[in-house]
Amino acid sequence: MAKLFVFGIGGTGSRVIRSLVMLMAAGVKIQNCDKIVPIIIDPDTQNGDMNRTVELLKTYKQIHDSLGRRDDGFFHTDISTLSSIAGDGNAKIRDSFVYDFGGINKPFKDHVGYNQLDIDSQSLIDLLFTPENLNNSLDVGFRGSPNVGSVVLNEIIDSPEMRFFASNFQAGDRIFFVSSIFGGTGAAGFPLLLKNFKDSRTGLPNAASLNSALTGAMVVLPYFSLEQPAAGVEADFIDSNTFTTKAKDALSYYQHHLNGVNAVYYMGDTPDKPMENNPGRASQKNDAHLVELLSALAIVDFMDYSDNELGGNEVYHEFGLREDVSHVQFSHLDTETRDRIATQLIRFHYFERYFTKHLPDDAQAAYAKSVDLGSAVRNDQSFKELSKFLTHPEFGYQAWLRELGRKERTFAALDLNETDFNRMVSDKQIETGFLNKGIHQGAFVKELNRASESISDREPFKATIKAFEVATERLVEEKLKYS
Amino acid sequence: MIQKFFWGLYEMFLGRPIPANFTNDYREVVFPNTGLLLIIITLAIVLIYYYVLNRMMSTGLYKTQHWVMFLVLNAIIAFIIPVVQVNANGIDTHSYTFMFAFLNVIYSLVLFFLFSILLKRGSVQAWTTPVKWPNKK
Repeated sequence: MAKLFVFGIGGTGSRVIRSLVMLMAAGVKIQNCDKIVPIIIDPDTQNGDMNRTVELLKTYKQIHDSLGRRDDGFFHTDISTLSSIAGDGNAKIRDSFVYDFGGINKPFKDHVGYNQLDIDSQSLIDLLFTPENLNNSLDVGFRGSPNVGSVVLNEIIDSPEMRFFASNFQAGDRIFFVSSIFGGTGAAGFPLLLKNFKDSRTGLPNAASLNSALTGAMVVLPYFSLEQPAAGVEADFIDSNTFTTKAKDALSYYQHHLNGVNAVYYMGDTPDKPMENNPGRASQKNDAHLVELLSALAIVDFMDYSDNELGGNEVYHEFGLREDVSHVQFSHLDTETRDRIATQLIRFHYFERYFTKHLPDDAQAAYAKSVDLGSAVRNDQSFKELSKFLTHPEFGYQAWLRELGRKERTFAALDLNETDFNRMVSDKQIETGFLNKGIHQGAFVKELNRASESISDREPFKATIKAFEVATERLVEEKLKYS
Repeated sequence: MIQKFFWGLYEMFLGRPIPANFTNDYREVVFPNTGLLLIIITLAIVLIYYYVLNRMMSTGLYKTQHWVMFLVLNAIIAFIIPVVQVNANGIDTHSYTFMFAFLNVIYSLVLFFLFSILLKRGSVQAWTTPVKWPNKK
C-alpha cells in the first residue's frame, strides 16, 4: 500500500492540487501508489485558493468513497486526509487536508517575541526583516516574504501533524512538494521541509524511511503578475515586480543547498494580464492557470518512474510546448503528455456535458430506468456530491475550465460553451453528414444503454458512472477516433 | 384443432356468427385466418420494435410513447384484418363483423403486451419499455 504524500505549500500549491484533482477525476492514472495524501500548508486559513481546493478535495473523496476501490475510471484514485491513513481511527490530529497552524493571528514581531529580546538581537532582527515584515499579522500568510516564512514554518516540524506523518510513513512511500519559488510560503516551506525530512539527525520518527524516501518537487517559477497600486496610493499589496528577483535568489540557494530530492520539475511562463492584488484571506482566489494544470502533470510524471529509475542521480525537468501559442490545445502538447491526459479529459468532458445537460431527458432510457436514476439523482447524496464537483461556481469542473480560458495563454483544448459534442474538442472535430450524425444525444443514449447491459452492479451511482465510463470510451474511440 | 381453438376464442365473447348461414365460413376460414394473422403480425411488430429498431439500429424509439405508437399500429391492423377477411370470403357485413374486429383489437393489445414482456429482455435500448418488470438485469 504505497502512498504518495503531496505537500502543497502556499497559494500555488493549493491551485496545483486543484488541477491535480481534476486530472484524477478524469481518471488520469497515478502509477506506483495506492493512495494520495495531500497536505496543504498555508498559514492563511481564510485563503480563497486554499479553501476551494479543500472543498474540492472533500467532494472528490466522498465521490471516490461512494464508488469504492477500482483500478481505473473516473475518480478511481484514492485520496485520503493525513489523519485517516492510520486506519485505526486513533489519530490525534484534525481530520483535514490542511496543516493546522492553530490560529496564528498575531504579528510576526509578537510571534518571535521581539519586544522581549535584548537590544542586540532586536537590531539583528531589524537587519533581516522590514518593519512591514514585523508588523504584518501572520494569519494572512507571509505576503511573499520567504524570510518570514522560513522562521514560522521551521516550527511545524515539531508539530503533532508532522510527527503523525512521519510515524505513518512507510518504506516505499513517496513525497512530492509543490510550491512557488517567487512567493513567501512556498519558497520558504519547500527547502525547509525537505531539509528536515532528509536530515539524518532529525527528531522525527521513521527517520531512516524519510531520509531514503523518493522525493520529487514541482518548483513553479513566476507565471503571473499582480496589479500594482498607483503611485502614492497607500495599499496593502504584494509587489509582483520582485517575483523574478526572488526566484533568482531562491534558485541560487537551491543550487547549493537542495539535497535529497530525486526529481525536480520547473515550470514558468511570461506573466500576462496582471491579476487583482489580494495579499491573502478569502479575496486571494486567483483564476486557474494553464501553468498549474501542467504543473500537476509533474506529479503524474514523477509517479510514472519506477523506484529504480528514480534511484540514480537527481534529475531536472522543464516543460515546453510544441509551439508558443496563446490557445493551447492537446496537439500543442508533447506526445507523451498528450497520451497521458487527452482522451481522459475528453471523456470526462463528454461525461460532464451530458450529465449536466441531457441526463434529465433520459428518464425513460434503459440505462436510467434500470436503476431508477431519476429518483437517485434527486435523493442520493453521491449524485449531489457529483453535481457539486461538476458545477459548483467556486471550485467545480466547469468553473475550473472556464477560468483556464480567461488568461492570455489559455487551455483551449475543450470548449465549455460548445453544445455540439462533435465540436467540443478543439483539435479534433467530427465530420458529420446525412448518414453520420457523429456524437449526439441519441448516440450517447445508445452507448449508455449498451454499456448498462454489461454492468452487474445495480447501485445507481456506481452503475451510472460505470456506464458513462464505458460509453465515453467507445464514443471517443469509434466516433471521435482520437489518438 | 387450430380451428376449434380460434372459434372458441372469438365465440366466447361474440357468440355464434351472424348471419347464421355464414357460421361455417367464420369457423373454418375467417376465425382461424384472423387469429393466425393476428399472432404473426403482432409477433413481427414486437420483434421489429425490440430487435430491429432497438437493438440492431438503435433509433432512439425506446420511450413508452414510442412503444404505444407501435401498439396502436398493431391495433389498427388488428381491426382491418377481420373486415378484410369477411369481405374476401363473400360474407355479408353485419354489426357482428365490427364486434369481431373490435374483439380482435382487444386481443391484439393483450398479445402485444405479452410478447413485449416475453421478448424485451433481448433488446439493448428498450428492455425497460414499457415497464422494467420482470427484468432486473
